[in-house]
Amino acid sequence: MTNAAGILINGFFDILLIPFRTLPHFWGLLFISLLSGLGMIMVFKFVSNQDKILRLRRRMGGEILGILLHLSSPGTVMNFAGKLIWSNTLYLGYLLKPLLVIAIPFMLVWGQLDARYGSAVMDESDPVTVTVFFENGLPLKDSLQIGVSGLELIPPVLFIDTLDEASFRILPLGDSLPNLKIEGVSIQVGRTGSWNGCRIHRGFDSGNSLKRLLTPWIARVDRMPEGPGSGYYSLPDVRYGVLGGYWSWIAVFLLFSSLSAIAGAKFFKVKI
Amino acid sequence: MIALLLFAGCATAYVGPGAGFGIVTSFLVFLNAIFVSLLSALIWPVTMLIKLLRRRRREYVRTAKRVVILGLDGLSPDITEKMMADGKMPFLKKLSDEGTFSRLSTTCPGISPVAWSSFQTGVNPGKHGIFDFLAPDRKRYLAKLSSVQTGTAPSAAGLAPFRRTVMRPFVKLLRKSTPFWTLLKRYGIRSTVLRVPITYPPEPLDGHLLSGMCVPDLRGTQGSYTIFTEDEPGHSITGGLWRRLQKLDENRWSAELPGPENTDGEHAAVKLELDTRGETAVLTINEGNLKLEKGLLSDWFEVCFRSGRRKVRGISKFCLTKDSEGKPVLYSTALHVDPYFPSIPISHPVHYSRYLAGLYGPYATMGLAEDTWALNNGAISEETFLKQAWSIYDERKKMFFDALERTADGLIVCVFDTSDRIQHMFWDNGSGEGSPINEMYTTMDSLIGETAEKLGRNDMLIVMSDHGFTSFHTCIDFNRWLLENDYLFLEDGVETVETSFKGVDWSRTKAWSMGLAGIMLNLRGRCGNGIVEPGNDASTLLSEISGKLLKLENSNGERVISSVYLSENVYSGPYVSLGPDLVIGTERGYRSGWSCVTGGIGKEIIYPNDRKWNGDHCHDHRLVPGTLASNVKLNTENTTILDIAPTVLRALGVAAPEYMEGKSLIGEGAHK
Repeated sequence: MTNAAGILINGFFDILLIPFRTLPHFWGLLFISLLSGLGMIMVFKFVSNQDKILRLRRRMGGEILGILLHLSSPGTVMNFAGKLIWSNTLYLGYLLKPLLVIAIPFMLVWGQLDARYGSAVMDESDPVTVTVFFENGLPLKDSLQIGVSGLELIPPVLFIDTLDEASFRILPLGDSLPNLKIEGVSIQVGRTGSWNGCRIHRGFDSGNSLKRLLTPWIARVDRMPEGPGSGYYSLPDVRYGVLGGYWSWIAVFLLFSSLSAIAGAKFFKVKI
Repeated sequence: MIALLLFAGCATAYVGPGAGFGIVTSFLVFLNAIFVSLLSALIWPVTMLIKLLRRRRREYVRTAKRVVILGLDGLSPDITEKMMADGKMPFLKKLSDEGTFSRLSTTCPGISPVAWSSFQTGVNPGKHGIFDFLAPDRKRYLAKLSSVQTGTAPSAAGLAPFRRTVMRPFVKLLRKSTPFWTLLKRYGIRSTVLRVPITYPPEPLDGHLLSGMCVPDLRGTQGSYTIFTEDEPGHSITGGLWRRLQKLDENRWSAELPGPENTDGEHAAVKLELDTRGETAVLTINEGNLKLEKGLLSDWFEVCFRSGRRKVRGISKFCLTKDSEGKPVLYSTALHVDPYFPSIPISHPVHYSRYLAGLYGPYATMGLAEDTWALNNGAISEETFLKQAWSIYDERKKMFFDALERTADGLIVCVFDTSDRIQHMFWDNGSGEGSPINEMYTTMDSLIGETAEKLGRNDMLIVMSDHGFTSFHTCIDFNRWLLENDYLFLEDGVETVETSFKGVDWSRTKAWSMGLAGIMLNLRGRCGNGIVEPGNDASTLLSEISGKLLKLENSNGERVISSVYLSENVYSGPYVSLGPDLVIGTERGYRSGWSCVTGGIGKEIIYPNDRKWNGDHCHDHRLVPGTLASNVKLNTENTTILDIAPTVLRALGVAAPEYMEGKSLIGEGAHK
């Protein structure tokens, strides 16, 4: 079920980003940011009680003005401050419903963007460290079987017995999609496609939980008794050149989704 | 869902636009509340020190920590005394027994703008310059509002070197002299002044002020309602506008609601759509929906107009009824200035109106808020009018009690107009049990009781009215009288004049009447086409007109004019010349005719008043004194409305300035 939902969501975003496949990463990120800002503000409009929010906002405005108009009277100011804090609590209460409704699509979008625009693709000049965890204990050092495709394994393989953890480095070769095979477990490493905006795996897991929907940057692998249960790769973060600075995808997303939400709120007369 | 939230990871820091903004701003609000509270506590010693220093200027020891003036416009001592005797006004009776109750002489004439101007300044009209609702433009023989001047004036705009002169609108208060609350500022005494007539535009004071009578509606008038019907009415509408309801289908209509006037002279308008499907009709304006219960007045509804590049926001109430053919009739009150987004200054400081609207919701802001014209014209029922009047009363009460709660010492003045409007429109119903007037007096008594309950031991309560009331069953057309007595002449072929003296032959006219009680001479040098020489000629003419007017009788041979005053005998001060030359005091039941007030000339001198407006106070001012009551024993000998200002100042320890003509009603002593 979770798996099917994950495939659906991944597929949906893949389709959504088709026009941006050949464009630099930034444009796809910008598009999703603007779209999600707008979408979420509309969800907020229809889920929240706009009349109540408007009335409460005005009352809070009155209470703030009450403070300003009676500055010379500390008693009155305290009284209004208390009322304001209470109104604020009520306001947060009014936000709860839209917040809960928005939270799920928001986290799905967050995960997709993190998976697609959070990490750089593997570079032939920059080895990546792979760390794998064995749930049923580390295999013997000499018997660990690691197969690679489209990759070069850079020895040595380090074992940490106390953590049931093994670690080694890899380097991509050519344009083919890289693949690892550890103790019979096939693992997709790095990008899932050859186009811009595809998901980039930064780890793998054999579990099957709801968490997977929110972390599409973790590849799902089959569980094998002797094989690794999970692992991650040290892919570098991507930085985007915006307004003369180097921004993480989170900063770009927050900025542009907020801008589009503000514009949407103004245009569609949404009371926040 | 909870599981998803637990796995939210980074998302916990940010929950999306919308709710995310809400949470961030909530946090800021919380921080601000704490910060401002601390700031207030820190600056309190400084403000207290300044206040103490200012209060040392007081000439007397104050007798009251707080003076609360409850102004009940038009509360008649005749009715009050009777109802007190009948045990119907127990709270006022208590004030009377323990403190003061007396009649309060009003100004000449006893008209609200005149009386309330004298109340606030403590001087006669000759010193504050307000003699009537309307002031004659003597050069053009036109009526204009006596207390406010609006227009455009050149003003500098932009920064050098791009500075340029543009025409900007202005609004100016024409009432002269100084209200007593302005004087209190010098003594560090704060005031809250609510809806006192003739306080528009608001003047600065130490405290808060919400303007009252003469605040215009969005169309710039003193109140014009809108009536929407499918068919054009067969008569002109005074005090309102008609707009056609365009039928869209069986249950839907559309129309345009006209708003403020643009610079090109056209009215900005918004489109409205009425849908009568279902139990309740739905009115849509500016994408907002208002549910209308058929026959019931709605709550305030916000309407936003685009006037040039500006947004002008107003509020209005709506009522949907049906005509005799079952077609919809939609009524919209005058477009009040939205107190939350005021497009003109209606309070001091400007945020005060927003503060009140934020805490208590939208409220009527127009000067004459109750729609008396709509009731006069039959556009609304008596029930709807009363509902409107009482809802305005409720709004005012909330503001007043807010001021009582927030003002620990100083002055609070609040004027309620409901008493005046209900008596104007329901006088003929009498004041017996079950009548609107009876209900109004008992409600006002309850208000007095509630107010008294909120006062401390050292607070002084003054309950007062600017004038009393009597009936108005017959109109007197003074211009017709002047015409028939050869003081006023019409051009050839003109028999009657609807308004503004159109068709009057000024080359022969010696006198004219405008406003509710005044006659002006067509004086050379003062009037546009003046022919009467100032001096002896004018004096002789005035004596002659006075003598003849006093002899005016109705068809039963009864006198209808009880007094005629020469302005120089009743007024003194620098602005006497702005007033009428003669002030006419009519007998009970008689008042200046409707069209005569604005320069019209009808067919008869004396004719019945056929309007719903059947109670009035624009008669001989001696017939309509106001009411004065207090929880403090006051000197009640020959009390006049001019005495209130010196009394309040004295109670707060301040000596009345010499120019004030009234006397303090508080006993002497306690001099500092």
